[in-house]
Amino acid sequence: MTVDVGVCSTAHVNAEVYAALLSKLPEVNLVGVSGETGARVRKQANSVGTEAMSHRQLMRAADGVVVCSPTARHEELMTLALDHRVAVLCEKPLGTSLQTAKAIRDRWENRGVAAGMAMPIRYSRPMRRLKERYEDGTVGELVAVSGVNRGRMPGGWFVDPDLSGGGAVSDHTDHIVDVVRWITGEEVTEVYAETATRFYDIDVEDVNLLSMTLSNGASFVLDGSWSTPQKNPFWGDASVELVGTTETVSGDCFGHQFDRVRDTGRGRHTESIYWGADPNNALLRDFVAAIRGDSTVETSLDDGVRTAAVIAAAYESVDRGEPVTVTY
Amino acid sequence: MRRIVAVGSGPAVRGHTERYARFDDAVLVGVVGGDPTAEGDDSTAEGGGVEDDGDRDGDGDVERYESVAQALESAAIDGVDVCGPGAAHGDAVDAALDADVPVRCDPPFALDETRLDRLVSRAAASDGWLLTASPHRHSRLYGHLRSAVEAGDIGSVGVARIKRTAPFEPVGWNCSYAGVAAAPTPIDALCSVLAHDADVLEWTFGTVGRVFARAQTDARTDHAHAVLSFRDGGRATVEATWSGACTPEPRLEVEYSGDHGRLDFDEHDASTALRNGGGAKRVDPPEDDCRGRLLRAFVERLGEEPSSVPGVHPEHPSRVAAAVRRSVDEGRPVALAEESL
Repeated sequence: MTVDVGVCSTAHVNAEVYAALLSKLPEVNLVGVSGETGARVRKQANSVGTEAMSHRQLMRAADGVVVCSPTARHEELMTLALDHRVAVLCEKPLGTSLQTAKAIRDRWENRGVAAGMAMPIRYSRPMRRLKERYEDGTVGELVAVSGVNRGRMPGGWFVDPDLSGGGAVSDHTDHIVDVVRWITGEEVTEVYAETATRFYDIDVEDVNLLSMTLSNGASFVLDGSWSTPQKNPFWGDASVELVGTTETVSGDCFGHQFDRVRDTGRGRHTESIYWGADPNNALLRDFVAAIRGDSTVETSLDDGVRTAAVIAAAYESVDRGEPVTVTY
Repeated sequence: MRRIVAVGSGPAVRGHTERYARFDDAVLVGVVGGDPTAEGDDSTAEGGGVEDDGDRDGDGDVERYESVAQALESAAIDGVDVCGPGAAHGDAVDAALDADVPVRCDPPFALDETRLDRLVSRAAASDGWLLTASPHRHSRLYGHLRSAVEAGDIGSVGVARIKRTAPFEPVGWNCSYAGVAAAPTPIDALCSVLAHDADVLEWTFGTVGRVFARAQTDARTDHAHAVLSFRDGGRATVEATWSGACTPEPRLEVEYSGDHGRLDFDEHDASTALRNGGGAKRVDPPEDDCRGRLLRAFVERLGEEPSSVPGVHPEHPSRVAAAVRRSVDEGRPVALAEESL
């Protein structure tokens, strides 16, 4: 039995990726792509052989949607989905503020409709193996965590603070904080943030350096800057190192790469190609299972609130110039 | 011929002894401290992680002294070479400056700000001087990176990252950095390691104005990270991990990202020119690796007029290390005062 799934908004860079993957899943009927900018929506819908439609039309047609709008519209679109009892997989972060994220979570609580965060890193096989090693005691007592999640500056609404809620802190804190929470079972208790706008002439920060502590006392440093050059052979990175009393273990989500150098075309062109299993595919399959009631989405809306709390603490730390206790 | 006394023990002194033995214009006349023939890994090649190939020129062929003061009383000495961070050999640095003898040490020359200020004053009043640059400044690799930055290859720095890991074994604290073993606590040792990175970062990107740091210590694993803010607005992270149980690779990752591009290398880039079995072997002769060139610079500076050499050079990276130490203790960011620049 197939389920009807749609992509709600084409604003996020991942909308195209999700639409392409959903169109190929045999258990999915990709019923449509919705959005405000007609030409862009039609182009994306055509590219995957589905229909362009309004958000309301999509909600009436779908069993579940992947919300890929600017962060500031998450609350509105998720409310629309809930009104139509349509399951949601929401791009991160959940809201532009901790207050909004909590409001979304609370609204969905006990409503019997599947909802979760689009956090593919939890489905990354290196991260799953890392979690297994942590849980089987390979690492011993956790002493420190080091993570990176850099990327190219995405532009567009991502650099409009009214639509995104912020820059690199808002965009590139969630994934690694979420996966470290998931692997270790520890919460971030304190954040010190150093931010700056150094790479681009934009209205939000592109430097995102966080020094944190976990609830077990371990330190946790994260570089989530938009520091990857636009001409870098790969878009960015996502890796975690767990320093323990017994062993140090690290996972690199996109470590499986090969290099491609082409002399054809205009000028020389070098790319690094990821060849490992696609975590987005596993994420979407899990979402489909959740729509059917066979599973739950790995990253819940409450998890989304918890990373939103870390982001809020990071911005507060910047304002105060000191470490800030995370309030959940 | 410049006459040098070395201070330190084990592999740290042995590495310096080997290099002085290859200089035509300098001779190591004595050692203050432990046994220079003690076993241990002293891989101090550029980038780290390169195994010693067993060349031990000059081991044990020098006088042994109990203190720098005794050495200075017993022989004519042109310079004192502290084989490790000055912070771990404070008496030796004091004694040399008191006797108006130039002294070299690795950074930091102190981790306590009061002592740091006192040493700066003492060096200013002495006919001697204190050279405390990291060997990294004499690394061809770091030199090329700095030249590239100066040439505008990456534009203005946004984030610089240095991450390094090293094992305890076989000699406990410090296998990779000469003399760090003498640090009184694991956190002091980590700060001493971070001081090298602070030095090369300031050398490349300018002065650091603020630091925030955390450190965790355990019987078998220690870790510290620091977030640095340069006065011109760029940021940096420095991480150092020591593990008694394993030595994860790569042991070194360096990355400078700016608004026009990125420079990066890791341990493999720094040490894969010659391999034997599973290990990298050094290619440069000891007198021409980064530490050899550092000692070369020290010997050549001994011939300069005292007035042409600043009392302490460079001073600020050690202040950064001391600020890191204080930030770890106090759990808050520490701003470096303008007057310390």
